[in-house]
Amino acid sequence: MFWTEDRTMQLFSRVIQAGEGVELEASLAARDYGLTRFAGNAIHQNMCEEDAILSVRAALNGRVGSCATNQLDDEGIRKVVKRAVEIAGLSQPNPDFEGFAPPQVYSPVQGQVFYPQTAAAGAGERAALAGRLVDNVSYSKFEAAGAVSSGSYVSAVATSRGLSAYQLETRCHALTVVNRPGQAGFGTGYAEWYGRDLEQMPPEKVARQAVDVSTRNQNQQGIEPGQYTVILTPNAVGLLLYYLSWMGLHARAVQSGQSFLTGKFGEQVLDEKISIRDDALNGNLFAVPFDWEGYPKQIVDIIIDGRAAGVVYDSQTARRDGCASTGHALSTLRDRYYSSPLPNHLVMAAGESSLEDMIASTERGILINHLWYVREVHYGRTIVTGMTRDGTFWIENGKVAHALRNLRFTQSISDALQGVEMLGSEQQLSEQFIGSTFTPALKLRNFNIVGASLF
Amino acid sequence: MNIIHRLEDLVQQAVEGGASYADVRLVDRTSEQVRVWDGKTEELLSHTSRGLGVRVLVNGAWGFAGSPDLDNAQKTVTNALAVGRASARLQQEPVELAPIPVVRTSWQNPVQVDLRSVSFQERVDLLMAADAEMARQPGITQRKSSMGFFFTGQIFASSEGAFIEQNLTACGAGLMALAAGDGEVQHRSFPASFQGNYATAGYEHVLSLGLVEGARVCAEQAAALLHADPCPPGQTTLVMDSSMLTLLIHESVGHALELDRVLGSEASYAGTSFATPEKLGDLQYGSQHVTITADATLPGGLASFGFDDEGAPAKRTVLIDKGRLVNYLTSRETAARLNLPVSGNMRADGWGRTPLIRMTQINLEPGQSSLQEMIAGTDQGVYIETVNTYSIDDKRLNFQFGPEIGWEIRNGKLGRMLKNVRFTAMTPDFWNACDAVGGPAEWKLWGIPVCGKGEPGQVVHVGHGSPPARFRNIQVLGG
Repeated sequence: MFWTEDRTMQLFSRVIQAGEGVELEASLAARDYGLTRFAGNAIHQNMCEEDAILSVRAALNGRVGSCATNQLDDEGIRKVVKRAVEIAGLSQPNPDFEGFAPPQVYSPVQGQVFYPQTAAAGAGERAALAGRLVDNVSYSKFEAAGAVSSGSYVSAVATSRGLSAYQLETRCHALTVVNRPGQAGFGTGYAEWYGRDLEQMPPEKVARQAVDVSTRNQNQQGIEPGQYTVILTPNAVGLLLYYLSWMGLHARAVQSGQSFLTGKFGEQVLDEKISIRDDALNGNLFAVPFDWEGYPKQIVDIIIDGRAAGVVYDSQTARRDGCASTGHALSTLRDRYYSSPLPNHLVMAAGESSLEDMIASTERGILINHLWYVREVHYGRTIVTGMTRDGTFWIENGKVAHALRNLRFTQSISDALQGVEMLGSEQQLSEQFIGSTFTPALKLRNFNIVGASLF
Repeated sequence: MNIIHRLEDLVQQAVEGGASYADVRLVDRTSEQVRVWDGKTEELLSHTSRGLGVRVLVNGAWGFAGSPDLDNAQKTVTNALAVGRASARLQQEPVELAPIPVVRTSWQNPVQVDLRSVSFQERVDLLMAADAEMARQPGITQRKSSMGFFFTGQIFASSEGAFIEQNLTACGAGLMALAAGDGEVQHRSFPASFQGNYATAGYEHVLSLGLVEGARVCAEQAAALLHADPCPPGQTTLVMDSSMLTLLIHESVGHALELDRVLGSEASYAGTSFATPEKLGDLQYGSQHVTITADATLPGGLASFGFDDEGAPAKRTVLIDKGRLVNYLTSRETAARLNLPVSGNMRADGWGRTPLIRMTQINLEPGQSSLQEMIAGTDQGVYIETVNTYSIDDKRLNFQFGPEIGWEIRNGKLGRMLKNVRFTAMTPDFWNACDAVGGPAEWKLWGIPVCGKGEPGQVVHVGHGSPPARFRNIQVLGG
């Protein structure tokens, strides 16, 4: 039996009881998940996994300790609570800690987030979908690598002050990179799909999109380094927005002076065509309506018509600025590379142009299908470097003229977003390292290409 | 019956269920993290995870299932078999495995100061002392200190009769000081970026890092970087310390030589490799000064162990011999495909993930030179320390890296501090530009607790040993 709301709340009740009056916060992250991976038109890795991780934080007069376990029997609960209390006793008082959250009111994520048929799907269903994708690719005389995944996820939080929050959701994903047979990594095309309902997954469409790109991604030519007009597909925009958010769209970055928004609220920082908000309730993203402290996720306008409007907070950064948490605390189990808070449901407002409109309007420019290995170069100036891959094309006189070799760029994201020529009319969901983005395509006036690879 | 005593029964059940090969890993892992941020205990966390991973070959195709439910371990075996049968939907060649010795033994790494004897208070006190040193420096707007302890117990059993119990203890710590002012932001880490330096060792390793002393220099340099000159662009000589070389080795050699990746298994995510099999034995990957090894036997190495996660013994493998590509990181499956030795590089991130070919310690072997000699022998160049930014393409060819700090070299001497140093190259061009490698006295082993690979994602500990080295005619981008 997976983690129903009843089962989860009973678990939390046992945790609170084990605390014997100590102030506690308990959270549960549970998953029942599988991923089928293929390369060279064959399944080469195939897995399923279930787990449920209970995290307990204990507070003793402003001192907080955390302990987590996946041993959820009575003994495991007793041990995790005891350890959390012990660790809290060893901690130092944190002046930014005001206690765990009291009961909250939540608005639900829009739309259906749980599909029973997706939850029930197993390796057979995933293999069948992978098979349909690969069959479509191989029929076109191409070779596919990729993955199909599906699973159920529970996020839940409770506190000894009476808060309780729970969401059960399903997520699924298909992606493929295709190339000519025996040419893995050369002339590739990439496509992917995200959703919650496995029955809506379109493996043939994903296959066709990738094959189409790969078909055109042959006989690549080079270009000189320099500033170019670029058209970025929605998933490329999503990745850049994710990096912008991590470098500068949260309270911690502003408070340390690291963010490009520091001291600039109310001012024009990006092109007026750009509006960005964090919107966990937008049913188009993968989201939960509460954070890992149990606070409701607020819709936060970060950039409005290019002006710096706000950032996201957790309870501690909010205390420092004398405001309320926006509900963006990350889990204590997060990758240690990331600090809390973080905007993790980013929506960039759409425009009115199709990708075809953007191409037709471009005299000389580059169409970028997919980005890879983007990394921060300078946080304060929001400079990143990275590569294009799986389909990069030269545009001339309003038409895609030929394929390009994969290009390296080094670019300030905020600078690039000050020169927006067109916004796409359709937004697309992409999952990021933490959270997800829902973004349109963009045509940017200036993008700094610094080199190219050999393929 | 205790799960440990049932492991071989579970393997047998997998075989009776149709597996031609099966292995199980019972993993019990605890990590403890202490983080101090701007003088406050940001986090004191202990995290325990226990579960069983079952891997099977059914009709020549892989299946894997993982679960923490040890009372119903048979269900995990059943799930793994079902996954393996589903794999047959899309199968080309059946998987074959190269042989390895069948071993029944136990192994654990030595420690001097038992981590379990070190209280959270003692760890907090050390990080607070380091934080206080950083706080003395004007201009520092953010201070981070962290320390991690890792305890991993694993029992491996296979249908070939292997039964291996291993216990690994690891720890490490690191600091970061961020300075902001006049519209500029710079940071400096100690003793290295990526959370610091980690090792399979006891607390003696953390004490050896010199955190309090290092904190002062770290903060001073972060503040000084705010006003340092940006690095001018151009073609120049780069002299790199070993902490800078770690990630170059990691990204442009380690990942490039994972044979599963070379053969296309990562094509949909991290990509492929330019070092394709027909180049084995011929490709001049680097200059004659460049010999690179994989070594899971190094004492104290963060990625040192007795046996990998398919029961193959830890070993040392020469990957690049005086510049020539001579080997790959292999698994039993990939070794069989190319008739190569099994290198003992299959590792999984806990019980819930299937093993993949992963780095262990990937090292630039020492040469004959020294840092002093390299700088003295450079008319014009830049000396750089500590990885800051890094990015490489999906065939591990075109890269751009940057250190946290640099110093100009003029006429054989170190000069002004430089910031925002970035350089770019193609992997074989870079390693063939190496004209000097430091000697054994300057060789240092670094442990990095985060290396990512695979779908679903996996993170393992890796290590890199390197002395300083010098590279000629490298394209430096303007700061």
